[in-house]
Amino acid sequence: MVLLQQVISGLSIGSVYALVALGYTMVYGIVQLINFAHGDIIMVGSYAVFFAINQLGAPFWLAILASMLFCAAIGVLMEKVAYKPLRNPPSRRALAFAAGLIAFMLLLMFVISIAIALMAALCVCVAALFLTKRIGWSPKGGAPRISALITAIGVSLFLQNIFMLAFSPDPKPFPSVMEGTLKYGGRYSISYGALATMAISVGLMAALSIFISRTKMGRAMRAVSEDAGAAVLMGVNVNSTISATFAIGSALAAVGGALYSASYPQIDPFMGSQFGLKAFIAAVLGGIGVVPGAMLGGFAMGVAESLTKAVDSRWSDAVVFLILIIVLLFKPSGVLGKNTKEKV
Amino acid sequence: MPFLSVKNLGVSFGGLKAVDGFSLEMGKDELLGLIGPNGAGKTTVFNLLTGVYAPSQGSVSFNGKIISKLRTSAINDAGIARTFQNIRLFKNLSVMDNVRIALHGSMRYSPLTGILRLREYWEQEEETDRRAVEILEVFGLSDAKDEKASSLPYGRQRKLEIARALGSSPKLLLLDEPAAGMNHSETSELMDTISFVRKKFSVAILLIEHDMQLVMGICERIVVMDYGTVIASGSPEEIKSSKVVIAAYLGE
Repeated sequence: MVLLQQVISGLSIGSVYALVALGYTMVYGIVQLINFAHGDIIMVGSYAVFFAINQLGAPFWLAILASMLFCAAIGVLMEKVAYKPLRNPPSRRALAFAAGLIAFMLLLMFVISIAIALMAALCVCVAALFLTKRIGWSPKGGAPRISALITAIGVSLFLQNIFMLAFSPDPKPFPSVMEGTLKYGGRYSISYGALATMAISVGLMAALSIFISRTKMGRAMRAVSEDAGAAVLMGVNVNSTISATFAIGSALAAVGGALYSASYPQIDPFMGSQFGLKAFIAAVLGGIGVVPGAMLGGFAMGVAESLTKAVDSRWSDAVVFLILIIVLLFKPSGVLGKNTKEKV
Repeated sequence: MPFLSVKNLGVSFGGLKAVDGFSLEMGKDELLGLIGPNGAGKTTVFNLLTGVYAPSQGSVSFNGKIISKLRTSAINDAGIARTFQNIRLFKNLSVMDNVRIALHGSMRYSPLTGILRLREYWEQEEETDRRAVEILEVFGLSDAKDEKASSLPYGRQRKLEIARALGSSPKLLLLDEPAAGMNHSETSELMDTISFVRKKFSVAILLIEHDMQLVMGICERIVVMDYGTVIASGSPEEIKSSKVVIAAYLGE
């Protein structure tokens, strides 16, 4: 019976892993980017729910909805600001802005006055605009994939630190939203929170599956992940498809964050990195880029972790990473992943 | 103003001028062949026309509109669709989904409508299914509509590419070596299909082809390219006897 109890709580946390893993896998499927900042969206979502409940007095469901919208917007913004400029050749204006920003940061470090730094940065900006026009510089091609990966790590650090600055690194207690337990068989109990978590997650995953297989935007996503070049020639707007993917992935992460914080009621600016990493491993386990794989991987990961905890809780993280190592050694494409043959 | 007018089009990659000073005019229901030796820049012209590459010089106007500055997907919306030299179907999607994606331009419901499955969603999806089946029937593919595109035999994949291109209701269809890898009888069948499609969907067709049986058989006018520019154009008879063309293919 202890076993059953552990499996149920594993499925509960696993469903949250699955929700977050979906974001990793969908983004990877479409732009071949491992979005390391996705884990931090969980944190952003948890803070959003925290504030909606504590400051605005919103009910839990409304707070989740608001957090989903907020995170979707953050996800799209992240894509537009950080990743899109790397996919396409940078514009002259973007280059000038970057030069100005670097100048501003450098000057802030050495000069005391913000005003002087700002004015000098503006001059650098205008000079760069003028110079690129003068020499007729025109950018070509996008950046290599590794640049996008490193940028994702940068975005992740940025989110963590901006939240640390804004809300201090101290953990905050998350309001208890789902209380009570369901007793069965006299001696055993399962919390309503775990049940609700599973129900909400599975419901969302079912809705997502239908969305991907049956609707116009879902089909466009599948087409872009197969062959973006051909899709755009068939009239699919690739940019809006990518934005939609980031929006959906981030909204799911927001729900994941809220549900996770509800069962482990403490939030801090770094909570996303460990949790995000585990969800990422779940996505790799199921086969990155494969949507059902992320769901399977999430549940498997949750159960494995929970069963290990039953034996000795200190081992749970080690087992999670052991799973990653085994997958990478024996089936790097993941359980449901397609075997891609290396071309010789 | 001609239906399609290409003026002095050019693009260079590094120091190489792949297309240089390419000009072309095409009528509303013309079937035009574009031929030339390997590396002459034919496919690059297709890539310029469809917006895959941005031209470094020249302009393209289509149906009374300058399209050479438009986004790639907007050019498709304007009415140009294409197939590829190497088949580029969405391999893991069903045959039906391949055509449905090309029909997206005619679907107007928002993602939210799709999630909530409002009446608009059902109506438009049904209309799309009906049209997709209609197109697949023309190509004798409707029996395979639920199969994965990659499971079709080669000849039928080629047909599906044309079917998919027609899904976006183009006014101009660009076919890049449609007969590549086909045998004699398949090519004959393809010629019939092209003639039929042209009438049934009333599209203008510009096709690149190495198969002279096909080009000489169905094109009214042929344009010959070499070194990124037009070296000759005229009726099949004129092209066959043109000294410049023979020299380009065989050397002096």
